[in-house]
Amino acid sequence: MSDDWSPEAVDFVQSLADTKLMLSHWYADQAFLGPNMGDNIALFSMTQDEYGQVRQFYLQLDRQGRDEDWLRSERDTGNFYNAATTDGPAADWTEFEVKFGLTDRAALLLLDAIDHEDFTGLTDKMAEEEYSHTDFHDGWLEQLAAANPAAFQAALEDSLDDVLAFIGPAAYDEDTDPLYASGFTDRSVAELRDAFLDYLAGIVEGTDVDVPDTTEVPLESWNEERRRVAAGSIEPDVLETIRGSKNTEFAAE
Amino acid sequence: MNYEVFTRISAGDDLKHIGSVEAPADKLAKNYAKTTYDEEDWATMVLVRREDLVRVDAGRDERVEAGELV
Repeated sequence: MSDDWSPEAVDFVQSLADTKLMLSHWYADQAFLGPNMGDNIALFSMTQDEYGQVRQFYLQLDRQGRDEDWLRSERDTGNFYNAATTDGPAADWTEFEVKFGLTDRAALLLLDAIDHEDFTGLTDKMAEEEYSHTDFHDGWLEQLAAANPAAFQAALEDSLDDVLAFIGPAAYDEDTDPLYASGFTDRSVAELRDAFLDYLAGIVEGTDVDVPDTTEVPLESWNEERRRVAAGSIEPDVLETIRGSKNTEFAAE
Repeated sequence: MNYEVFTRISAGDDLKHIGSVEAPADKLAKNYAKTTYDEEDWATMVLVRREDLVRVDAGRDERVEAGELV
């Protein structure tokens, strides 16, 4: 276990953890509402995968001085560094798949870029779990882009800039990305954004959906801790749910 | 669309019918099958669209219903 994480690396891992926490929450929230029973089974499974990964990230963060109790149950909504796409629920199944499916894919790209000894084996195991997530989401994204292009397009235009902001600003190339420069990741944000946009182009290929023009995020507008440009956060009722506040009297000391 | 799920645990075993899934497309059907029938480390898992099953016993409706398969 090392103690050489930069402050940016600690924030980066918290952002991954918090985004996965919220994906887990929204997967659970939707898990009886999938179009087919197979979707619900997949959603329960993905809920568990994401939550288990959150626990592993919290352990790592605790060792870096970001207290696990604070992460778990003592912070307020503004201290959650989740992707802006995961602040609230989706209005319908197409929006659910577009904003959460694409956020899940972006989180995998970020996770897979970590190149630090503290994550040896861990990120491989997580990526293995994530295979079933991308398999599931890609199946639905391809299906919905082909069958329901107008709704897909609208959801994509609502979500894409926030997903890209979660990956990071395009200005962070190999010369300027602090995580790449410190060796914490093996790919720059610019490379990860290109990989994500290539992936997205593949999803909508042959459909009536176009990948929208993306907005260049000025570095000064980008919140490095929360990996977003937009304001906003999870709602207080969601905070209460994910904290487990109602049952603290039964928690182990 | 309905799909029937066939598996074998070890190479050389017969393929056995273990269940079915309903999905809007082949890719999702494969995902549902893997997630739903994950109790074994299958050597082989294949899907057959129910509409592609060919009835062999004569004198009956060509169509195969899900309940006939288990």
